[in-house]
Amino acid sequence: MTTPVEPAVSAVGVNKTFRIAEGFFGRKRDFHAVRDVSLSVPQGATLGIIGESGSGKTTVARMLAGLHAPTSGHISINGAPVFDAKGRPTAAGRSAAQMVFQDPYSALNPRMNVRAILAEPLTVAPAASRSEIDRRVNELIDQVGMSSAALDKYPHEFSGGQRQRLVIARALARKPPVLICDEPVSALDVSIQSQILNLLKDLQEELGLTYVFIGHGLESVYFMSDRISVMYKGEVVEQGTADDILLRPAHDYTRQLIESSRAQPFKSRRS
Amino acid sequence: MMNESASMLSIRDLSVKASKRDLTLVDGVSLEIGAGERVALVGESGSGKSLTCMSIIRLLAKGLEISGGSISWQGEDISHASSGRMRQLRGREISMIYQEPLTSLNPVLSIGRQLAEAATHVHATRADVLTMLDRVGFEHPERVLRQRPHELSGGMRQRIMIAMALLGKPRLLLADEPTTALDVTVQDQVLKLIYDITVETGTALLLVSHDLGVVRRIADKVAVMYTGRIVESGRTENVLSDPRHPYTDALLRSAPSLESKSDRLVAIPGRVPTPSEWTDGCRFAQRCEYATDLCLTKPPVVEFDDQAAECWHTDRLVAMEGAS
Repeated sequence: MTTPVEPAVSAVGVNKTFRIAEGFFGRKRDFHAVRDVSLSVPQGATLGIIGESGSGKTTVARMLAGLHAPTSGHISINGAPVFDAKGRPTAAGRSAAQMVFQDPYSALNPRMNVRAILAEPLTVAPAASRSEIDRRVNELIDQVGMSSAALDKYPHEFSGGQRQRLVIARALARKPPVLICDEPVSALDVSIQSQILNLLKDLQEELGLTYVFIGHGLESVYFMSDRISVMYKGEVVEQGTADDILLRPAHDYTRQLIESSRAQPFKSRRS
Repeated sequence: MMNESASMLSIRDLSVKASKRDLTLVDGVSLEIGAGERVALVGESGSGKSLTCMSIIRLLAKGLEISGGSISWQGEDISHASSGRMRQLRGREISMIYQEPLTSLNPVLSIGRQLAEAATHVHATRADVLTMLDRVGFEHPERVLRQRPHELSGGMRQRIMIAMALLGKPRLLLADEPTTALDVTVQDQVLKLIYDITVETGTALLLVSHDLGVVRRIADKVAVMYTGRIVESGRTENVLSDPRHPYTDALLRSAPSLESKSDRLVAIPGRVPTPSEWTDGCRFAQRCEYATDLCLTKPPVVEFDDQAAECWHTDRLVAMEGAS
């Protein structure tokens, strides 16, 4: 594989404002969800994004995946722009970065069997042939550690962890170079989370994937990431290597986050 | 395990069933809470921790029923008490706060209206309400009374719920994942508030949580639930630093940590069995590295000082810990 010089994911000066109404007939105003965000993720690396709800981290994720156009600024994957000048997603942008969503219970169509779910992205132009699709579907189910017997079952027959494996398999169908993972384990049982985190790491190594990994819990983001960006009220307030952020946090929010993660028992005045 | 004949709340062999499908969801849970004690029930979804909690205050969803055991509140078995008796207890002796403060508050009524309703039920005055709002951290209690739920942040709404729950000066506060829906940093502030109030007022706490970090911060004692049973219990610092059940041990070891950056996590294989798959033997056996044929039969409760685990192989776990 050739290693292009440009980063796998690049965002420069990205802004996003949403037009919202105050009440049903209320005046419209602009809500600045993301303000001047710049990110760069090298090939095969993982960038973690942490921030509280409303910090803009999910909006950034959706823009990187080509689902929301930025109001201004530039986003590219492997050097190719994700949006054209009019803010429409480009063909390259649509397939370059795929999302892995938080809730595997709502992300899979309950009326489709697993084979159809995994084949669906492959039928979009340029569509693969039937035999190619069949081969790829079997390959995908194997890559996420499930047996081909799963292909003829429906989503409700699987546990949350297995469903998240299916969501990941579907995201990988068209061999995207980049996965955007938006809190991929926070809806899962505690004893399953580490399986999925390990799977994501294995896939990254095997397929040379680049990740943007979003979370509100510091532990899983620290485990997954080479570098971490901290978002607060729509802005990136701090970024650095995972260890830098943990050992030398500069922003108040980051410090609070680390302190509450390193849970020490509260002190009682009685004892 | 611990000798607490004077427990305020004593749950013995509690079972909860889904009556139509004849499925057991809570399977013989025993738990003691003494006056002023903070106890945590920790487990994954489907472990039965919330159902155990809801059984105490008798707010089980339709179709679920207490099918065995007893719940003794200061000596009185309330597992089948009349709904009138339960109404007397709720709010005045046992109160509850829930996970999602937005759905627990009525969106069209002012905070003041809703607090007034709760106050009437427990015979609290307007002055009591204002004092309580001040205590849970509102600088301008009068102003909050005029606001509606959507005008408040998640953390503030949960503070309102805490104030409402404590108006009747209950002796036991039940809290089902009270901070799960909140941001991490707000979680901690709300947790600290619950802790401080229980210390100040001597209110006992039963906290239901899936988060071992939260449990470590606030609970004196912890009971770990898996598949409808308590598999390990004891003093929090003992259970979390020196677990005696392989499930507790595996949970603690599998979580990513800020202490060291590893390449891989020690994942627990397999998945949690669903209630229809539960057997009489150890239900963690299929996922357990210490399992033997013995584990197909009902495991004994092995007691240690201030700690107990329901497992055939507590000795193996201890031997492994010693070796490493």
